[in-house]
Amino acid sequence: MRLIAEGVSFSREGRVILRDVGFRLTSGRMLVVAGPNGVGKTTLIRLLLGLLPLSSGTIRLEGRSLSAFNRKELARAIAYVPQGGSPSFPMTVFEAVLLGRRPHLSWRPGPVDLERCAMTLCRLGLEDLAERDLSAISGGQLQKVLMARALVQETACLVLDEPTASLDLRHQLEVLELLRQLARDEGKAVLASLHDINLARRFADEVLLLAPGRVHGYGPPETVLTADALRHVYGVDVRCLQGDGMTGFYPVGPSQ
Amino acid sequence: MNMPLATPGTGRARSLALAEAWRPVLEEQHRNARRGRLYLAGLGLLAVIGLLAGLGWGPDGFDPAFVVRGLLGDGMTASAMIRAMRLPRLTMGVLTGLGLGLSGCLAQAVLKNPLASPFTLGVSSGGGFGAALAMMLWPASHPAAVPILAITFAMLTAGFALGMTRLRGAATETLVLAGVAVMFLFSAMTSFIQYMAPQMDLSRIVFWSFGSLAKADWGEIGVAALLILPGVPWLLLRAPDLDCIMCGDETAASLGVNADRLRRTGIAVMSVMTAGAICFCGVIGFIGLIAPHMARLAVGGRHRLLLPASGLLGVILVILADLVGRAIFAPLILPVGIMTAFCGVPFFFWLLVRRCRRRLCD
Repeated sequence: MRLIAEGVSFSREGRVILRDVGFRLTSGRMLVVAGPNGVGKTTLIRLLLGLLPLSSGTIRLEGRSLSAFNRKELARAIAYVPQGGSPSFPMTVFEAVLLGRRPHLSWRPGPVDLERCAMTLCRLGLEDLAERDLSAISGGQLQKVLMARALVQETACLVLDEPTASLDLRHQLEVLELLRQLARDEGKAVLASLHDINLARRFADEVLLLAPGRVHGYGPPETVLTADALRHVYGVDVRCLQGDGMTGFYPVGPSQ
Repeated sequence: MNMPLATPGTGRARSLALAEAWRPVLEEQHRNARRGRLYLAGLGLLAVIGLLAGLGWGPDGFDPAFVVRGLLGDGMTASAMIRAMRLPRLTMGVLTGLGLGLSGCLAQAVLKNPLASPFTLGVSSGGGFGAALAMMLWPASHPAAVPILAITFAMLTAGFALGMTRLRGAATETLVLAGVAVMFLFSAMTSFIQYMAPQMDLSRIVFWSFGSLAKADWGEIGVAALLILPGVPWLLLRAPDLDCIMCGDETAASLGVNADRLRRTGIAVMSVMTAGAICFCGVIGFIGLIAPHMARLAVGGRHRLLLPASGLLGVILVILADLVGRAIFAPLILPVGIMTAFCGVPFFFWLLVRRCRRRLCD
């Protein structure tokens, strides 16, 4: 699987949101998109899902322009995990996960579809929740349910919009560990937007750091996520903490 | 539950454990599916019983022998009563109930709003205004004027709603708000007509707005069927896509469903069905709201089962309301529009309370 973005720009009503964004996502890799609020992370994800038209540039999936895919083909290639949000109607966990089979099934779900869903629920430790309503589970559980839906979609690429937002420490680690495992063991290409710089640095293979209207850096996390870059992009002074072979950033305060 | 998610390297023991673990989940799904089909069959049976009861109930109480004689064409009065009165009345009831139940379910899905019904987008009020206008302009002389204007105005309202969806960035909330505003506008215009209308027309307009199955004839039934039935296969075909758009347009898109297009077609289909349901028998509104909710409580949220269940419940409610309306103050017949609310509301509350209790027990 190869997803290559080159010179991607997007502007709405005369306002430039993304300018000249480029990256390359291949099987087995995890790309983290970071940057301050309103910098266009979600817009980039919407462009990848084909929900918005590019103003200029190209996004190619397996060498073929994204705009040449119809929705169903795209749904078999890229799965999307939204940022929480449950429907306004009752829906059980199993029903929600089963929706992920939509790009593959005809009218009614067959035995294979049901089996995949049951297996995936077990894999994520959700088997006891199968009959619970989506509104009656915790935020961390909901995030896993949405990931289960993306997994039963059986795509080569996973796109996640802030999968760790509103999760507690343990769930954050569990979700990112799972994503890393999916990339390493199953060869999925994973693209996730993250707010937590330390998690991004720890789990990403590549980081795309966006600043308003430009790309500040793209590459391995150690070279992109530096104290200098954080000061420039977020306007925050950070202290670099090191120990046990790990590096973390502690935000000191807004920079002058 | 507290097992770490990502166990590096899935060993043989672990995959065996998993193989055991997902079986019960799957079996539960099969049980649920069976239960859903059973409920659906039960609703079908209930509808048939309701139809038979409606056919058999007359001014002298329940008389099956009379029905058999009437259907076989044995005996003039029996034949006339059954064939010319009860059968068209019930057929119209079935069509109306089906149209309102299905279009209500569709409205709730495409607008992602549990309060949505054919009333929400103003389609019913538009139709009601059209009918009132026709009754004021052509008192009694043109029987076709009422349905034609009712359908025209229902369609105009739907066209307005469709225009709203074309607006960039119009969320479903905007659509619902605009629809409610249009509904009030048409209600005010209907009130204006009622205020200005002479006494004779006024009583006709008011009576129409109660909703009644009494005047149904086979020509009208044909028109109603033409408006309601063609939408049914489309709806059933789109059932899995409706499931997807309940989770938001972006999620739907990532599952390969074009939410905008589905919403536009859905509103068009809903409007035609609603127009068919109300153009002859008046505004029987409540069914469109409660039939889908009752169906949801019975068979769950998947539209493959939910849509047929909503349609059947619509039929059951209309037939039941008509039956009770005929029986309770016999020989006086209460309009079905009033009876649907009388019968439906208490039952609906009972279901809601029951669901709340079950939620608390979880």
